Amino acid sequence: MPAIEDCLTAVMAIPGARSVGLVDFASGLVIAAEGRADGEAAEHAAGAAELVRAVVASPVFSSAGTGDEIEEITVSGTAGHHLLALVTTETDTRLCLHLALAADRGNIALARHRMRDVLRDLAAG
Amino acid sequence: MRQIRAHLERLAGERATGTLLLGEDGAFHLLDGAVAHVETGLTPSLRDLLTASGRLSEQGWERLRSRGPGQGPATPARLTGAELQAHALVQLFDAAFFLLRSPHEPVFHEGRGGYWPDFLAVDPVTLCVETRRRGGLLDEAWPSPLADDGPVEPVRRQRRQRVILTGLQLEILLNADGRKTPSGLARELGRTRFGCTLAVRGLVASALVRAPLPGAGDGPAPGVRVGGAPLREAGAPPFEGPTKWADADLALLTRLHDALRELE
Repeated sequence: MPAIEDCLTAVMAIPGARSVGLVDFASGLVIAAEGRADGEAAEHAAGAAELVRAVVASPVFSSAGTGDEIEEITVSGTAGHHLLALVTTETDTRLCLHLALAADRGNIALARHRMRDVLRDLAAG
Repeated sequence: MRQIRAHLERLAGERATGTLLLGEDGAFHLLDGAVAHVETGLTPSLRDLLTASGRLSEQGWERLRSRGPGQGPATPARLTGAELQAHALVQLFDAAFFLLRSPHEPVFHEGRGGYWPDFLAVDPVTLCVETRRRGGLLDEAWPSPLADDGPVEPVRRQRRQRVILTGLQLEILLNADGRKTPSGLARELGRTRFGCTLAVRGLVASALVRAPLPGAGDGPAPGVRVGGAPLREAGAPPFEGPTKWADADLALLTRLHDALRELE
């Protein structure tokens, strides 16, 4: 079953990608990761899930009166960026692709674009 | 959990293939020492997750079983390999969380059992670490297992002007009828039992679901204690101790809590 590995490989091919993880943010479970040690991946997944849950639960981050769906969260630091792209499925599995990007080699706009492509394939390929 | 964990770790060391049976609660299927499948009636099955949620129709599920993922015409009703893999893994961890708490004596039978999907392989140590982490999440939401297995009973009225819910909490309130348990709701909604249990604990903490009384059902209910003051025998002389309690030492309580968790 190489389906998820293919997705991660495609994300790691984005210029400046340091590491990537696919996380079920409903529970904080790491489904698959690349570019990190195993223990570290679980820790990153739990942290990312916490951030996503906090953003999703807060009405402050809604951009429409009736509430909208969060698609992406970007955290930018001086040395790099973290992009979290969300896919909400009909089931309990709420997936989030977490990409760590190096500031000097990565480009946020390009990475966002490529990540959405990967997520589309993940849900429909 | 400790005993089952020790069994799983020993079997992982021996790279055993077979079934670790836990009475009628279910079984862990092992392949070369790794957990490949968790079979249990305690949590919704993969089929429940996919069909009850509306992701797949019954026919869609049959097609998936017979032909595998990503086959047939490209419609939204088709499940991709990656989706199947993700759901199977989520189901496995959900099932393992509850099966690891089984009080039954584990019995191991060698030989490969029949199960599907058969492409997963999870290290038992990872499984136990994740299970412990999830236990922590539950305790953070509301530190008591009292609401986990009983019927979910939403409150009829409440005084706040505004309440913020997660989507799953809303689903639970809409579907709870005072008889369904978190596990029953999970099966009906096609959600994980862990997710529902966590949501219900959150609802109890925010007083939207009635908190079950300790000991309800087994043995006489303890006397009502307002403010958590110690129980006294009826007719005992009035309490004449200090009128002011010392402040709780949070650091000490945290250490004690952690130490008790280690014993699990």
